[in-house]
Formats: sequence, structure tokens, C-alpha cells
Amino acid sequence: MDLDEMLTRAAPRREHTPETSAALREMVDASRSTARSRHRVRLITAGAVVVAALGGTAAAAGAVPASWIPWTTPANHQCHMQFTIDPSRDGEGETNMLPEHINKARQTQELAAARDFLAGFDYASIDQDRAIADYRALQRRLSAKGIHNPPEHGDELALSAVSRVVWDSLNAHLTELGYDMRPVKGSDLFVLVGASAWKCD
Amino acid sequence: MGGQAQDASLTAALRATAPDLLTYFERRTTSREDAADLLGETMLQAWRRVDRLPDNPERQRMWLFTIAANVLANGRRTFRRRRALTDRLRQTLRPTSAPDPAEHSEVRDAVMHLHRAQQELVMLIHWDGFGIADAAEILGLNPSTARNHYATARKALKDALAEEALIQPPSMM
Repeated sequence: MDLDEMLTRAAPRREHTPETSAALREMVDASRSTARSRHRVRLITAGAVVVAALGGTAAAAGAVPASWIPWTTPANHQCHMQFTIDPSRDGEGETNMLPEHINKARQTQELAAARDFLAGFDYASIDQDRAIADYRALQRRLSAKGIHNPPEHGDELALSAVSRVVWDSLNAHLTELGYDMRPVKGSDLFVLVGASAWKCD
Repeated sequence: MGGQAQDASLTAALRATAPDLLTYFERRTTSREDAADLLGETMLQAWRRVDRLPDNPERQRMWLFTIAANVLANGRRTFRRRRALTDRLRQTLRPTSAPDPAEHSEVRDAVMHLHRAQQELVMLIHWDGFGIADAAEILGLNPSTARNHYATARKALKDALAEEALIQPPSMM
């Protein structure tokens, strides 16, 4: 047997059952709406976010909850950030997102660990310039590989970069604790005071 | 191509390619559940870039595999959305039960001991059925660099498998 034949015959066999084929078809059909679902609000006008987050009375006052983290972008725009953790079970049509080995107690532990981490996180320690540089470098690396994310500039770029630091830190923390983050869903929300538009990814 | 036509075209491309993409990930991960997750991430990435979907079905397949290779390389682990998308698929994937012949394991071991770029080239060519030019494109390699990597990989594999007496060593002139 020559090398080519030997290599070809050594390909790991992966046979898919009819059940898998059906799941794949469903997955393809669901992927479009999942990819386009609005999960993460990035930049919002002060008015819009208050309506969304606080309701009418607070909106009129222009208030932002004290639990939100104040932030100043490089353009010296004042912003408030909120990072929240929820159970991964909203599912977008799916009823069970959790792996079989993760039970309710385990999920509760992981959610608590994630929330504790975010509550104790030293946001002031984030080096925004460094975060932006790292984020740009990441985008350049992805772009070099043919992955072109929508361009981000100014405050949006800064907030995405800061957000990435927070989520990466959480990821590393949970991994260190031996958690795999499957039961955890993270969301971030930014209020940029005076922004002229809002957008979601 | 307009928006609706692009959506229909990507849906068709994903339907046609998803089984091969799943196999691609299954061959490169230790957990079949991880393969399902990586496929889910690939689909999400594809939809985010649907405006760049090529018209030609063969190019669409290449485009999807290139996204898959990048997803694999980057180990992107967005911990939202994808889990919902892949849950059903993960539940259908179970370990394969039939053991492979021992010689296949030895060949795979030899492949896994190659340098990463060489290993990926060999797998794309011999396991996933791509030509060397397409494999180079998927990996973002210059074609001549890919040819060099591939030639080096073949020599290393021949040496390794000759040691295992699976193939005849090159004759000494």
C-alpha cells in the first residue's frame, strides 16, 4: 500500500445518523435568525437606553442605576457600562441548552461565581489604550485570515475593546475554577451620554 | 446578489456543506460536542459575512471551510447563542463504536506528530478531499509554501511509517 492510499484510508470515520442529519438541517435553518438576533446593545442614546432599562419615570430624569460602571472613553465621552450574567436557557427556540452533565446545582454555582467575579472586578484597572491596541491587533489578525468584522471606530471601538477585556477575564477566571461556562450567558450594555445613534450587533 | 438571494444561497451552501464541516471538526477535536459547537460558530460567522458569499457553489464551499479553519484556529468561544443553536446536534452525536484497524492508528499518530501546518495540509488533502491549492487557500498559505510543507510532511510520514514497517523504506541507491 502506498503512502497516499494509507493516508486516505486512515481518515477517521465519522458516520452521521439520520438523526444527526435532521439536526444539521434544523441547525442551518436556525442559524440565520440566531446570528441576527439582537443580543448585545452597544451604543444607545441616553433616552433610548433609559426607556429600555429603567422605564418612563427614570427616563425622564435621565438616571442611570448606581450599579452601572462609569467609564470615560478616549474621546472623553461619559459612559456607563453594565455587565450581566444570566442562565443560558433562553434558547431561541431550543428548550435545553445545558450539557447533560451540568445540573441545576452546578449551573447555580457557575452563575454565582460569574456574578461574584463581575461584582468584584476592578474595572479601573483596565488599561483602555492597551485594550484598544489589543483589540485592533486581534481584528488585524482576523482580517489577515479573511475574517472581516464590521469596522468599529471611536467610542464603539473603545467600548468593544473594554468589553472584551472584561469577558476574557471572566472566561479565564471560570476556566481556572474548572467551569466551562456553558450554563452562563453574558450580556453587556453601554449608555453613552450624548450619542447620536444606537446600534446592536 | 441581493439580500434575499444571498440568504437563500447561504442556506443552500450550509445545507450542502454542513455534514462535511461537521466531519472536519470531528476529526480535529477530541470531543464531538466541541465539533458541534465549532460548527455552530462557523455558521454564525458565515451569516455575519453573508454579503461576502461567493456566487459559485464550489467557491462557497471553500469560503465556508476557510471560515471553519479560522474558527478552529482562533478557538473562538463566544458563550452565548451558539449553545442554543448546537444543543440538538450535540445530543445526536455519540462516540463511534467500531474500532479502526491498528495500522490506521499508527498512520494517524504519524500525522499528529507533524508540525501543525503540515498536519493540517495532510488532513485537508487526504481526509477532507481538497487539492493542495485549495488547502493552501483555506490555511491562508502561499501555494509554494504549501507545496514545500506538503513535501516535507510526506517525507516525514514516509520515514515514520517505514520505522513502523507499514511502508517500504526508500531504496538506497
